[in-house]
Amino acid sequence: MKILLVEDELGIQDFICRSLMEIGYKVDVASTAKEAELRSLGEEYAALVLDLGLPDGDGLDMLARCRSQGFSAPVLILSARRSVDERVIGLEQGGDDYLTKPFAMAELIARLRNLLRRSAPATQGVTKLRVLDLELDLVRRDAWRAGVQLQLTPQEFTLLEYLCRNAGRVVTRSMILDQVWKMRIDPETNVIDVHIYRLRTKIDQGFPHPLIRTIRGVGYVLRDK
Amino acid sequence: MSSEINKNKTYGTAAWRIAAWATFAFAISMAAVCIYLYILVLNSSQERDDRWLTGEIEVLSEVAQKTPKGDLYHRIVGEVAELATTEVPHDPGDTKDLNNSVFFAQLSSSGDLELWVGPVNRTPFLTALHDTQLEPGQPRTLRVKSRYHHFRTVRQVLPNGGSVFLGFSEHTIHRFLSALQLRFLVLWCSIVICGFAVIFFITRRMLMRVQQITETAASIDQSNLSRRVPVRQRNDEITRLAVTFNRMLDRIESAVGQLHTITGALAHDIKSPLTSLRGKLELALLQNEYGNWSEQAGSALEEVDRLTEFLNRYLDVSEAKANALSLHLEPVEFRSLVETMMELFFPSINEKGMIVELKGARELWMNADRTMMQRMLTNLFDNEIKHPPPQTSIDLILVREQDEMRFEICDNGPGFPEEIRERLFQRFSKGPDSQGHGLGLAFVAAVVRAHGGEIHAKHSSGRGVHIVIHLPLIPSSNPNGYSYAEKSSPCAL
Repeated sequence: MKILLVEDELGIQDFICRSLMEIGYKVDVASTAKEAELRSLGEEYAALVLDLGLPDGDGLDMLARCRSQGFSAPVLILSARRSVDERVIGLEQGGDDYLTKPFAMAELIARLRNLLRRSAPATQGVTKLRVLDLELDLVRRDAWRAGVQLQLTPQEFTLLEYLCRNAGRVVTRSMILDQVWKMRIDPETNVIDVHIYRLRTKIDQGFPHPLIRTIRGVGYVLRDK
Repeated sequence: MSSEINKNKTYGTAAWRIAAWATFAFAISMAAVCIYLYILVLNSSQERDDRWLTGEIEVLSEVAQKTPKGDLYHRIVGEVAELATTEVPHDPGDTKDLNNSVFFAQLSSSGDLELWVGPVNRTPFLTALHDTQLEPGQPRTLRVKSRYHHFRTVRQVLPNGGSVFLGFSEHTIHRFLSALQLRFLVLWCSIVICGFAVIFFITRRMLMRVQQITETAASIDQSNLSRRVPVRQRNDEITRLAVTFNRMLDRIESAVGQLHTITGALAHDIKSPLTSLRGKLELALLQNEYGNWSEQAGSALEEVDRLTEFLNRYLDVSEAKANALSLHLEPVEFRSLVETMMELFFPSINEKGMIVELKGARELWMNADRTMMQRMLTNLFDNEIKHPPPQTSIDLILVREQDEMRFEICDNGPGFPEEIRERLFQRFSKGPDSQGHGLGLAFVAAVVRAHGGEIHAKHSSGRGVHIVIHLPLIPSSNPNGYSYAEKSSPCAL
């Protein structure tokens, strides 16, 4: 899968590019709007990662031009402009998701994967999720670990479902808040950690290999191997 | 300094211009009054002369008719005419030129001179009488050659077809009028000069006070904001200007003071995480060969996140303070918002052994920015988790008050420290033991105000935190049936 990265700051360009290549994507980079426009028309991309502040014009204008010429791949917008207004404008102008700088690379990857999954034909009729010995019934909202049913609150089930869907990938606290609670907030206190701690006591206690791992300074990951 | 130069200059100042324009208008109106009076006097004296002339000519024509023609005729009519000329109006004392200033003439129907009383050189008069058409009984001004002054003349027709003329020189009235002109001119000049001086000095005195304000403003720079304009007792516009100006300086001084405090606090709050970040990275680099990076890198990342979060929070409050929050208003049900937030915070609250209870009204619909409201509540919950000691119980009370809602948060903890109660909702006000940035409540207050609400805190001894928030609700005639009630269900968790 090929991704087009439009970013003029070489430092950021380099680390995003390397991170994406590390997890198996092919990446083309463009540093200016002009270059990005040419590339987007010349080749087929699975997704576009777009920084808004470009030296030769606004990224949103470029995106609008590309969209009008039939560019249909999902677009993840990166920007240092963090107001809600900017976010809304970005999404209205053809962006599919929005990430403000500074961001965790894990979040960028997760959001990009989300976009790619959404644009791919949907896998319908999934009613069960399985990660190692953990099993979730999405219809009855029940969970088992190694055949033992877990007593989860509805909140905990939603949280676990989110972790399972992203098994093997790091999710940050703000992603959890956004996806599970649908809130774009950043609490000063460790609310998410407490939720994860409670979930962990329910699913990992008494098992030699804990499923939920904490990645210090980034977030959490549900192990899938 | 340029203002010093201006002070000693008269010409070109505002006082000068005001005085000049006021004097200009004043002079024009005074001149108009003088001219009007002059014309009034001119007309009324001419009218009086004309009345005299027509009266005299009647008498004379009557005498001329009744006196039989003969030698006596000349004498009698001549004497009557002479008598009449002595009664000329104006200057009764000035009789030396009497013969020169009045004339009487009688002409026959064929135009021959029958009788002449008046100046010896009568030819120019007769020529003028011949050349000018005089209507009987209508006085007119007659131009006589070789005479400097004109003659006001009236004609009367005798029954025998002849005419009598009576005229007198206008030189007396001219003299009178030119004296009047001179007096008016002198009067006008003195009033105008006097007026200019008065206006100029009054204006100058007023503007001197404006000048003082200007000088004070000019002397103010960043290092010296303490100067003030002297204020007089009299309550006029300039005093009010001075008072307003001083108040503005007070506000600027306090704002600059605040800014210094904030910049200091901001620098401090950024420097300490930067220092610890640097330390951690340095340590990681030194331990490179033996130790495990991940511990240091993780803790450095946490530090970066805290810094980012602080900056975001700070920008939020600044935007809110500058009224630059862009709100995306939509109908939001406040109670369900609080409930969702409680569910999120419940484990943390529980962890600390706290009890939280939500009481009061339901279906509290308001036009609000959902994210902003969530962030506001996050700040309030964060505060409640961070500050009060364990086992504190928290009450959340919702009350509907007509078209607004009251939201109270109270606990039975120790409450806010005494020293920050006065400036609870200002940036960087935090208690001595607080680990936060002192931005939380400032942000809450900013969001409440941006939504047209009010916030205050109640302090009473023995009671804990008690914050009261008023927010406007969507006015509705039917409180039981909201058209958008289907949106009311909180996010299922």
